[in-house]
Amino acid sequence: MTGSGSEPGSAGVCVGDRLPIIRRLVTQEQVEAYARSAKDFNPIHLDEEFASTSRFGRRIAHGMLVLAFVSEMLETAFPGAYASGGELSVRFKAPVYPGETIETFGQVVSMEHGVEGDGVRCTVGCRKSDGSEALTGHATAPMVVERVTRLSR
Amino acid sequence: MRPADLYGRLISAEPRLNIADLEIGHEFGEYSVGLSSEESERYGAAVGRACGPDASEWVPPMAVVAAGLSRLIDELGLAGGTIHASQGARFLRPVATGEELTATAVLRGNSVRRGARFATLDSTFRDASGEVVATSSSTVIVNP
Repeated sequence: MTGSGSEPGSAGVCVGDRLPIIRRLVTQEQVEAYARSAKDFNPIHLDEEFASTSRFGRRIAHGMLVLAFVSEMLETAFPGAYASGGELSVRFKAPVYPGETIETFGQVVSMEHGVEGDGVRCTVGCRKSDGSEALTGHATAPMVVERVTRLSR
Repeated sequence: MRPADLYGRLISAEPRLNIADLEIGHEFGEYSVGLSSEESERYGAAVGRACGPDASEWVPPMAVVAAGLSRLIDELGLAGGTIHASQGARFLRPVATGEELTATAVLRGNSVRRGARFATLDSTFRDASGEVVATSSSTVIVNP
C-alpha cells in the first residue's frame, strides 16, 4: 500500500495508506463473457437496440463486473483476510460503458478494535477516465498481521 | 420452492414471481449456489482477474454473491433494464470450487419512487454443515 498516514497499526498498516490500483479497459466482449459466467443476460448489457431505448442510450457494463475489480483490489491488499471476514458496501453512481477504462481506488481511513478482533476500514471505489466515480463505498478487513500486503509507503 | 440443479439453475416451469405483489419479508429459496472449477475459472477470466488465489481451487468471493443474485433475478423474472443501485457483502470464509452452498434470501425493501421500483434483497449463503459463509444485500432498480 502507498501511504503517508499516521503511526502504523499492529500489521504495519496506517491510516491514509492507499490500496493497490486495479486499472481495466472494459470491453463489450468482456461484458458478454461476464454475462455468460454470471448467467446475467439482462439486455441492457447485451442488446444494443434494447439499450438504446434505456435512459443510458447504449449498453452498459454489469455493476457486478465493475464491483469485481474493487473486490480484487481488496483481495490484493488483504490476501486471505478479506475473504475470511471482510465486508464491502458500495453504491453505484454512474454507468460504465464498454470502451471505457476504469480504475479502482481505496484508502485506509481507520483502524478498528472490536470484540472479534482488529480490523482495517477503508473507503473504496472505482473511477472512470473522465474522473467521475462509477461506484463508491467502504470496506473492512480483519487484521491478520502476516497476511496484509504492503506494496509501498 | 422451485428445485434447482447443482449449480443453482432453476429447472421447474413454475411461473415467476411478480415483485410488485411481494411483501417485505418475503422469503426466497432455498436454492443451490456453487461454482465448479470450470465456472469459477470462467468467472475469473471474465473479470480479468490477475491476482488472488487460483480460481480453479477457490471461488473469487464476489462470484458467490453474483451467482446468488443471478438466481434471484431469474426467479423474480425482473424486467430487462433492471439495474443495480447498491451492493453489500460479507465474506466469512473462502469457498472452494465445487462446494455446494445453500442460499436463502429475504425481500428487505420494496417501494416505488419516481416511477421506479427499488427492491432490496438480502441473501445468506450456507455450507453443507449449515454454517454461514457469506451474506449479501443487493438493491436493484426495476425498470428505471
